[in-house]
Amino acid sequence: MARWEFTWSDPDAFPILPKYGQFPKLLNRKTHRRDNSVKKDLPTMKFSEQPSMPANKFSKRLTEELDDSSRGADFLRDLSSVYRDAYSRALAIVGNRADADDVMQEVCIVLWQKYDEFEQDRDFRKWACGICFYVAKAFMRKRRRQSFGLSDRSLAKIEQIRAGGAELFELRRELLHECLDKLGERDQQFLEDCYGSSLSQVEFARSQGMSVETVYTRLKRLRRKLIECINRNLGKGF
Amino acid sequence: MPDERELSPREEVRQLADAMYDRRMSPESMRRLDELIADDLGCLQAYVERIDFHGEILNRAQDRRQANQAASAVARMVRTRHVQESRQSQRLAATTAACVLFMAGLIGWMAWSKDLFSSRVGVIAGLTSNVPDGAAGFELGQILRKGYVLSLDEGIATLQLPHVLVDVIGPARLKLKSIRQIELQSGSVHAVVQKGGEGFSVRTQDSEVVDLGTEFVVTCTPGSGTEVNVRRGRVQTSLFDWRGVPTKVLELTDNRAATFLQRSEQAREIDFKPKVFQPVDLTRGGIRSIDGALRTAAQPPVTLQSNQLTTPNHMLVVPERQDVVLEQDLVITGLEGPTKIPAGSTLSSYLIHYDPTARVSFAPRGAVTYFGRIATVLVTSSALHATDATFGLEGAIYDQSEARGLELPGDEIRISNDRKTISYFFGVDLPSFLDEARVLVVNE
Repeated sequence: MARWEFTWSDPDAFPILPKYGQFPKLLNRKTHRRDNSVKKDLPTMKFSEQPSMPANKFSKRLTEELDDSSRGADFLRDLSSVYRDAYSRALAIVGNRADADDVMQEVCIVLWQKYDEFEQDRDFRKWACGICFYVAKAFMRKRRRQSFGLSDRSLAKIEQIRAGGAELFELRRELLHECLDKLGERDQQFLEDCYGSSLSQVEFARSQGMSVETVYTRLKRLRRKLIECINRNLGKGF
Repeated sequence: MPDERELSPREEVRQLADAMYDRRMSPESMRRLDELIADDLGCLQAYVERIDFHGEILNRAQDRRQANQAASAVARMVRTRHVQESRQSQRLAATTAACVLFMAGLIGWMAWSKDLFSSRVGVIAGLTSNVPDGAAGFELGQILRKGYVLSLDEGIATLQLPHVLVDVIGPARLKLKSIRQIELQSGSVHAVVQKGGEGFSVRTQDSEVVDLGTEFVVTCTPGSGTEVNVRRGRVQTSLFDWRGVPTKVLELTDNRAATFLQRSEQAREIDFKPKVFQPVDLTRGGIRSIDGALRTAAQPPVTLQSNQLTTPNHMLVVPERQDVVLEQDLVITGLEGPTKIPAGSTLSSYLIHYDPTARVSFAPRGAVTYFGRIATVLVTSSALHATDATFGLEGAIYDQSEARGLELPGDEIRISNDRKTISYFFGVDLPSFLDEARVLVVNE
């Protein structure tokens, strides 16, 4: 069983939640996911030799650049440490996985191009996430010109809320994992297949032999169950 | 049993966030979501929590599949670059071979049809102040191309096409089919067709309105039909059947109107409605185009006193009284010195109003082009005060301070040689930030 230590955060830090005026700051927590906040030593394997990435599909010049142990490996290591944070930022702006993937590809390009300008004593996470926000915002603007999207004003507010409520969101994520573990195996597998697949909802439904409506109904039920579980557990800590 | 409770705003946001993640959003849903989260912190938090929730389930799913997201993203970046490089070298070889043939063909094609060469249809020549800054696709001077779809939520955008001025009255959605045709999907457009623009047409799902030299408004309400009001000139209107083939034709002239509904095959004349022209008359008047940090007023202001109608990052053009016939000579000191405008002249007035707040640090530039010729520009406080009663908006309250006018030469103002365009560059001077000028335009 994990040992918990609590400190109480400033109740005014999150004034819009009077119900949760204070919430525990979790230290030494048990996580269900890899801790990406700590820079890990990646294997000394070159980028082009990573599994499932055949070398003959690479751009030769770019691969050589990435294989340079002093630069490419540093870049991959830094990027890996912040990727989740940057991705969740992009997802909050663009709202869905496919667009977030596109944004992150663009972010990777920008970060790689500007990596030489980055001073090593700066905070890479802050730098990368800042670039991610601007790339995502530009993506949304382009989307608005073509069809529709959230306004710049809303995007700025989303970013503020994310920054201001980071601890609460982290707590909710921890609880989400506990709640996911409580689901039946079939439900867990369904969510993993649905969220982890790159197929559209229609294609996914077809691959599962279900109608689209059935997929949505099941997703809605599972999401509601998880949210109720999270909210219940949030209340228990007070 | 379906849940029939009315949703709270936060619950509505959560459902919209789910729809956004599942890529099931419509433009209306997105607008609704934007509206909810823009002004309510609780709704904003609900949105961020919900998207974060989806993101974390996605992370877990990918962890289970042992996917290294960062490496995958970089690998995609590399593959994209590889594809781009391959395509580049192939393209280079193909382009070299095709270049000579292309040039020969192009010269022949240009000689045959110079109109088709450019897909440019027009330009955005005016915006009212309630078109949000940075709104998708709406910037002054923006070039509009064939096939472009405009979707305006509020305000009025003025499009300048060759010999045609089109005011799009939001909310509206339209497609620019060519320099001579727009397809109105919903909302209203007001068109002024000048000489040389005859044949310009507005098409809706119910009908097509072809101009024969006129000013008219077309309003399309999907499902409820199309209404055409002609203020002056002549248009030919056709009702479409379900195949889009014209069936009935009506020709409308001055002060006439008609309504068309495809599904009931209805095309009939109705009473002319002058009020459909009001939004444009009140916001644009005789202004042909605006440029730079300028906007036309979304509606006639009630007060123009200092600090009551602030304009932090643009100048406001306010059409005042239009078509004022002078009963006696008007002798007044304007920008170019003492000016006499003879009795019987018909003038329209436009007030330029600039009232930034203390936080503004940049000075805006802009220009306004009118259909008529500029008779004079009143820039001193005394001249403004003296002409408020004659040319000012009825019922509006004007500033009576002595710092109301321009502070020349710090504030710059120039009239073009053809006297149709006036350019501004206003500084920010204490103690009063307010700068105003009144432009009197001779109606032509």
